[in-house]
Amino acid sequence: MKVAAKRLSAGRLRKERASASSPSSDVENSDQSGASRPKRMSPAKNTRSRRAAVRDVSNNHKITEFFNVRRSNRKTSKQLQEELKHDLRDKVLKGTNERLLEVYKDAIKGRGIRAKCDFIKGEFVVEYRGVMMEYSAAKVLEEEYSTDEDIGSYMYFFEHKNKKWCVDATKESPWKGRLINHSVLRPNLKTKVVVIGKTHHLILIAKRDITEGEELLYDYGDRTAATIARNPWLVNT
Amino acid sequence: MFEAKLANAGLLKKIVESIKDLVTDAPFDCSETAMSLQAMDSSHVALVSLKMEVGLFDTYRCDRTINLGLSLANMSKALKCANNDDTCMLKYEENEGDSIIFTFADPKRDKTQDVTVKMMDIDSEHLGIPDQDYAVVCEMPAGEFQKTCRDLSTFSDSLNITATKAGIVFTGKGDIGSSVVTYSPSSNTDDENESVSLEVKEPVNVNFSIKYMNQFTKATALSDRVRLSLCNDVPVVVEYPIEENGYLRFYLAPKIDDEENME
Repeated sequence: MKVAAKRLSAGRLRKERASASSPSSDVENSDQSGASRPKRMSPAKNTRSRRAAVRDVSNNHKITEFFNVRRSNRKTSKQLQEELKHDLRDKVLKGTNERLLEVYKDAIKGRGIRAKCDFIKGEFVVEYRGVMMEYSAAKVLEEEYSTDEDIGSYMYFFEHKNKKWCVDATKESPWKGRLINHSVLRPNLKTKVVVIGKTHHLILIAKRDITEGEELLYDYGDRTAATIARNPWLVNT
Repeated sequence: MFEAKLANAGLLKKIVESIKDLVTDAPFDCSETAMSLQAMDSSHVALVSLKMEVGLFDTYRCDRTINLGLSLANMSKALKCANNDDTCMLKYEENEGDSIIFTFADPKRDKTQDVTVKMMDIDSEHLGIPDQDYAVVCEMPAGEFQKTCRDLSTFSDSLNITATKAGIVFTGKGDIGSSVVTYSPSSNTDDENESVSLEVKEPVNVNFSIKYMNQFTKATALSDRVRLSLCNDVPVVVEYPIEENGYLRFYLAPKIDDEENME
């Protein structure tokens, strides 16, 4: 009888509390399930702890006051990385950055590429797009090209995973990466190899912050004596 | 696909038993390096954070990051089928529906038992836990902490912890009386597992709901030691290491210091 009375008062208290703060009911439930298990608790003590539970929650800070819920605008570093990767993949595969660059004519150097917008350091600018081939095949092609004076040098040799590769952009194409001029003294781009899916791509990224209208330049990297003799601008521009 | 094998089902049993009264459903995040879980209790006062690193498992394979939503009550039911010494294989295959298969094997009897548990769609809210430099870090035998909390809960709903360089004091004060437990760092015994270690950068004085603490100490079976990390006005961390390859952490928001609510 006494127990029943206590329960009633606990119930009343619960109602008051519930109106004051809604989430209190849950903790109570867990307490009830605790009571249904055969434990050493006496019924009288149980009502006491139930009342305590009600008091507890209304009296307690929420953990969410201290730790932020990660909604869509708050992402884990892994998510962010994943997004950057995805973004880069889109840009490379779809060539969306091509429209951010323009071709211009220089009296001495011939064609060159200018930025039509700002790029920040480390940002992807454009792919050096052409035919990706292995070193041996490229060497054969290079020999062929060298016999024809009208063909310029559009072959970029590089190493990827301990293997030598070449992008051959000799063939005229709308991709502007092939038209970017060389500079060893003041380049604003650098090359980087990225793996997208199963293939790898040679891309150019901003070496420093680039402002709109600047000519894009990177170091072709070829320092073999023979090439320098033929192209002295490789070391003095 | 995800496939992970524990040498003893007992470990997972202990983990599930220690959190199932606090959180009902939980999203297990499985990645290449660990199986982890983060969930709040339904009143959003406490947070459970579990990490089971690859090192805990005999075999572990996770092709891509996946999220397995499970009801802990159902998981507990599945694990009840297993003996503690049985090996426990968890398996999930993307194209085989929305279930996870527990395979318990008893090597002595050449017996295996498959238990399939339906997964759940859990709309989980992941909390970002900021790095915190705690003012006080205390390590003590897990059983000791459990007993202290239990003792104090007979007097009070609220656990007050104060710590200074001189020691750490747990106080439970109620209508019928009070209980005060003091540990001085000098009282260290030779046995490392029995010692109470205390690092104090700044003194703290904090109040927590003891009912939650009693829930947390169900994890005592998991580990010999417990680590409490404290700072004024931030959640306490009660951490149970799991065989040096993971942990079970409980975060508990402090109580609002407000005496007039005590009717």
